Amino acid sequence: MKQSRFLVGAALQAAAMVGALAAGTTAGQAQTSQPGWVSVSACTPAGPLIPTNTNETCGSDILQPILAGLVANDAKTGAIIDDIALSITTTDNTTWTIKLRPGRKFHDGTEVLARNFVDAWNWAAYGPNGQSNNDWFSIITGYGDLNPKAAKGEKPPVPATKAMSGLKVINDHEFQVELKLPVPVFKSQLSYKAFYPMPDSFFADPAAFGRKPIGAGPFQLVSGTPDTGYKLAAFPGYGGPAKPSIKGVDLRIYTSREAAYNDLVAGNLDLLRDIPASKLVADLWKRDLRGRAVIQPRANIQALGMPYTDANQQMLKPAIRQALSMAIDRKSIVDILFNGIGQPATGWVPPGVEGYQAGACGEYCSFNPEKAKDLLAKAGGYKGDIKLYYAGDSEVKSAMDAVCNSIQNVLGLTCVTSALSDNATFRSYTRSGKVDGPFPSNWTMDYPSIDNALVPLYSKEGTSNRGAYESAAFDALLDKAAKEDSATAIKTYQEAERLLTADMPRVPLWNPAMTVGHSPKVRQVTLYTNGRIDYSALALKE
Amino acid sequence: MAATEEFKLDQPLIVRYGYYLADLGRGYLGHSFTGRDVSEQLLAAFPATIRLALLAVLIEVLLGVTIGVFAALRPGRTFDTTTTLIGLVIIAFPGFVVANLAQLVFGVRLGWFPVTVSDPTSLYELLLPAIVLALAHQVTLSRLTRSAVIESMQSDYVRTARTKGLSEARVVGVHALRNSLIPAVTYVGKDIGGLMAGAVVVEGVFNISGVGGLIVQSIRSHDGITIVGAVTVIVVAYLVINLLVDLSYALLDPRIHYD
Repeated sequence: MKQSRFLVGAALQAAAMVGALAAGTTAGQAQTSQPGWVSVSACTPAGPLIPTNTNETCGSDILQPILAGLVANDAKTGAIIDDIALSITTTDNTTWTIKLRPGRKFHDGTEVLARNFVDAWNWAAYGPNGQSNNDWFSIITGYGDLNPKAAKGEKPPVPATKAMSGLKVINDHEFQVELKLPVPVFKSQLSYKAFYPMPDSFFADPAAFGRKPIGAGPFQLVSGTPDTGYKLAAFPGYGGPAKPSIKGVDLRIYTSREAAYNDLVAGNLDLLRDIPASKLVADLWKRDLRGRAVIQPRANIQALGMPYTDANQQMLKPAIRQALSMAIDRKSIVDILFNGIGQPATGWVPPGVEGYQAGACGEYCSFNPEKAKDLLAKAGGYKGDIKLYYAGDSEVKSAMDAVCNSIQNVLGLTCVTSALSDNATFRSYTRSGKVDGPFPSNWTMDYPSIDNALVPLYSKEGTSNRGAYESAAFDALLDKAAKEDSATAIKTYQEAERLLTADMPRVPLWNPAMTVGHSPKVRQVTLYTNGRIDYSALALKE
Repeated sequence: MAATEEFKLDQPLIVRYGYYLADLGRGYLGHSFTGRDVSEQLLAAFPATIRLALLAVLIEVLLGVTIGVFAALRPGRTFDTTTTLIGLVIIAFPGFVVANLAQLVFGVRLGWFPVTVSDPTSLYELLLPAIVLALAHQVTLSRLTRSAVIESMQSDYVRTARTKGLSEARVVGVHALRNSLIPAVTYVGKDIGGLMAGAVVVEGVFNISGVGGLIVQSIRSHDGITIVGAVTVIVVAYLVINLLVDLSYALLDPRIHYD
């Protein structure tokens, strides 16, 4: 009876396997949320959740509702409003006196005091701490002492001090900041999370904080890990301007947006930002979601970067750039490729941003085949092919093909798109000075003010000035703005923006929009200009 | 600075590889560039993938062997030809099409199964993804079983068993099937590796936080350390499974002995 023993044994083994499978699982997490909570699609953060070290979207999406800073950005109007700050004053744009609202609390119960800002800024600016948002503090006097320079190939020395001389705590609710140079929009910059306060407990154990961050924002982290998602409950002790009406946010990790979209349609998810492109085709998502589809502008501008090097002498002629710009049929591309979501750009600043002026680019950003041909002829024509470089691992190929086709059809030139293997290669190539053709250049605002759309990209010292553009007149206007009060400074920045039409250092293409789908229980979805959902403005149906 | 030293980026590749192998010997897979412990990430990801693979194998074996045996008993008849045809259609569809279609029809539209899988996973949630994974694989298994059973049915020992007056069920179930299982078992063993690879697609569609999802995510973020760690562990798992398969031959066929 050897055989039958074998069969019985095999059956038992199979049964044991099923048993092990069943035992190894929990009862199956309920996919429906608790009452008053909303479930939101999220992605795995790339690293510890520390505001001064988190730049990528996944981590920022989880961190932002937990945090509060001196000032906040009003999601509806885009205006900068006081949050923890009672007042932020200056007479010369260099020395800033910041007074705090008393009684604002961190989630651990301690009060937000002036030293929580000063300590956090010093810690973030201290070179050896290696924070990715470190250079945000380079505007403050004494930053250099914390980041001593070393000769190429050598290790930088350990800084002699851990504090910037430009920061002074006056009392518990007041501190003073001295900047190296005047920065008229310093108050707007303070809305970026690098400048947020840190509780005393952070400095004792930054790693623990990275797993369970403590902020002073409307929501506090209850539990969560990078793989399973995060639960954020409304913080009862919150005394700021963005008091939420919902009880909590359940951030669920999705590895693909398609999966999240299907959960949304099936009613298992409440909010999904950035609907997958495949569902935007022919307004599929609007039919699937029946009135629960929201489109909002985003503080982002997609442009065509232009080489400013000897690699291609012809591209240095402004008329050639202007001709290229006028040969691009932006509206058709937005309508056909993006299904009408977004709008053709008319300037270098995204709409909804403080200082935005419609039509700053004038006629040069309108589609005008005749004028484009005239400009090209006046510039003496263009010899050879136009090569449009893009990163092979990005999603811009179809858009760049469309741009190339438009240029080719209007100007009668050969335009080819050329993929560089990945984003890292693309970046190093476009920064190398050897690039000989245009390339896609996408700018998302760090804070919603016109200077952030101009200074990093087009000033001589700009950190993201990839085309190595230089204009003395432009830089002079920026210097002038630096000495003005913020309202006048914005006018000067606008003047500088209009100046860009003469050289077209980048050709504005379009301002993409954000798409959000929500479940029937959610109403009033508002987004910040940088794309985050304003959970405090969310309202639920009874 | 700190990162350069931590990842030994100032050392030549061969030295770094030596360090990696030494770490691997101690069971340490390193930290990813984002500071997360690779072993921890894998430990968190593996249960879901193993459950999915085991469930898929179970479904695959049940379907494949049953279909194969019944097709073999009456080769060329309606059941045989229908299953062959359906099998061809299933194989012709790429895995991601089947996965997306199953999710859309049975998850979103009909609501019979959860659309995505939560973490930690439950057996019921994994059923649909496992069926999707098993579907294509069971086709090959049923064809293998079919041809092996047909061959055994014509062999001498089956004729002997019949002449001994054993019932047909016993002849097929014990004598023919057991001797036909070696190619099937070999295939299933190799298949577990394939299932782990196929899980990359299915895990993405059903949002399962397993090894497949981890690999895709790491490739997207160019996180080489996590990719190498995950692939190393999968390769080891694959080798162990195939060793077990080889050892199981002796159970199935007493003529095979390992000394």
